Amino acid sequence: MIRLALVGCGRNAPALVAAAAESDHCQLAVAVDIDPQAAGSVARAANSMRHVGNLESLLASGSADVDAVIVNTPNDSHADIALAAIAAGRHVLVEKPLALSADAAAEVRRQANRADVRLMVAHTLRFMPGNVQVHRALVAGELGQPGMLRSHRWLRRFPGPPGGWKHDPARSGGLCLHEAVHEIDQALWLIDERPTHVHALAAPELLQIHLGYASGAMAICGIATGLPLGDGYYSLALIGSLGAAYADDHHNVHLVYRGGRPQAALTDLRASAVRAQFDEFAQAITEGRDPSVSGADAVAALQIAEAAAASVASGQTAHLTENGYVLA
Amino acid sequence: MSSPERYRVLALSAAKHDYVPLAFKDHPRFQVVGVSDEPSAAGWVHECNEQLAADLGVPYEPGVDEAIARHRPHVAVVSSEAARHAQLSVQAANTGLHVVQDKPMAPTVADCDAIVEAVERAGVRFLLWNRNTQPAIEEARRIVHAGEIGEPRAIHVDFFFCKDAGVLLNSDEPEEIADSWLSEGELTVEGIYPLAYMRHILGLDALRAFGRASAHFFRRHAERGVEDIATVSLEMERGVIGSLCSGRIGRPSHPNIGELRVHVIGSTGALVVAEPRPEVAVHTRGLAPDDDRNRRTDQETDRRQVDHFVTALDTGGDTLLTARHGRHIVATVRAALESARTGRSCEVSRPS
Repeated sequence: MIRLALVGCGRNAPALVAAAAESDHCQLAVAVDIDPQAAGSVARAANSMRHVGNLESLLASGSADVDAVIVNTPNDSHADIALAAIAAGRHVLVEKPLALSADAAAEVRRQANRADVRLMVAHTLRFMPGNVQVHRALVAGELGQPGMLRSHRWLRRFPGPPGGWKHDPARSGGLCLHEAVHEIDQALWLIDERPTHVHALAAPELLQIHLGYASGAMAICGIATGLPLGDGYYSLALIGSLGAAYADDHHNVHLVYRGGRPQAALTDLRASAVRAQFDEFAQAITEGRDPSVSGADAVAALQIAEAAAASVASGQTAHLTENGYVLA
Repeated sequence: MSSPERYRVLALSAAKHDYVPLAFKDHPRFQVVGVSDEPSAAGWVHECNEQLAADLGVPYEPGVDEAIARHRPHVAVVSSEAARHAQLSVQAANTGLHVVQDKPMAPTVADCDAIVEAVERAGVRFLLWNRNTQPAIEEARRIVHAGEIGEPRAIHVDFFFCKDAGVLLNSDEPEEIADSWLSEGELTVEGIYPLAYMRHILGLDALRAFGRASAHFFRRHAERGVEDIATVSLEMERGVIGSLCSGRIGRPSHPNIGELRVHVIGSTGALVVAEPRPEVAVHTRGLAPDDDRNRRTDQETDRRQVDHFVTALDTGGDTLLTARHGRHIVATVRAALESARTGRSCEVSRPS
């Protein structure tokens, strides 16, 4: 059983605690947050595990009860915390984006390789149950050559005060790095080819990423972060030369009928995905192999996310080169 | 001048589809008086025309000018091969006929400009056939225009038809149909529908397009260098973002007629239209490969489009999709395909 330290006990933490509690391969051992109330609250939710105020003191103390660190802090601290954990010989699972630049992410990857620890990045879309089935069909050859990937992901408006870190592109990386890196990783996963073109458009709380490939394949992904009410919305279509696969919530799949009055509730697909992600991380550590979402994957996604951000800023198309991109 | 009790309709060619002229068949305000075409049309086109005439119970009379002189129609319904759309529509408009025309409007923007110029000079109404009278699309338009989702910020349309277009890429099998409109590009032909949805729901045009396109499925498309799938990013008026996925994705690729969805995101809400829903799907052992598995719950879409057209004729108002709208749609498709060729976003041309 891999023992985890959860660094960052903010809004996202309860979902991670719940997912870890369901895992057969890992368990939370320590909650870490500079806010003692937040850390204490998470610790209580996870069977009264211990909590501390900062990672440095935890690692300095030897902390033999921690095998790996989950980095769940604001984006601008991901790389530094990951590097500190790696330096202390801990495996790390980092929320996306791995860093606020591809270069910084590459440095984290280098250090993880040098220290021979496992580095995984939380590109959770790969673990969504529907997407897992799509990928399985693709790998089995049922879809033929992938030609078009289309996805829509709508989220409720970022919570928290307007001054929060998610509202500050300098701290979050902006929508391209904070959110679209998910879709970019998904495209790299499902269309096993580096794109040649990135064209991105943005409007308030909206982003659209359009990828072109030398093979003729194409991907277009829309993200909205400003839904005022209700659930999110997720839809994916992968069109191949022999068939197509669709994975979307549609609000009419995976329903749990509770009996009695006619009502139904969606199963929590994200919780299932986070648990699968934790399991993969823990098993990669146990088996001494790279996790299925590696540091290299994260660096590749960030390179394209940076090109997308440049495309938005310039209004031009980013033509990807071996080492970067050219706008035209 | 008062409106006639019934507008006389002359069908000009049914090379591509018969559903446009057939939509006028039993309408109380229209009387289909004949089918005509150019005598020089291909043999298979004459065969299609004869079949349509038989279905309508009217004569087939090659020779367009002669048929117009004989029947004195008010309306020409043009459903020829796309390459002849402009010629027939301009000829009809120049004779003072209102025009209803099948998709695509024309292969080139210059042809579209010729149609716009002819219908505006003649002061006749022009309707480019579309799917905007789908109830869900009408409802989406109502919701947006009522402000129920705030200021529109984005519109995304997925338009995948699960149909085939001959044999698959890399197949050695011979084509069953040697040549037809199936040899035209998918975005080129079908792009009118999703782009017309955008126009109808938001009332906005595209300004720039970035496109990708490829022949992914069908040999005839690859051999002709035309697309069977395409993706388009659009910069639209008022800062709205648009996107479009279009494809003829093969019969096995969807359980319904295809993935036809519209997503509109506004400042205070969002809506999703899944066009095939609600659906009635009928699966039987005796189903032939080309039989429809799905029965539409709404059979009145074409009828409503004709109703709207007759209102435009009676009042002199705009049709659901005018020549100028159609011209802009073709210009948007051409910009997307040019972008796909060059790798750069392209401006959508405006009429001079």
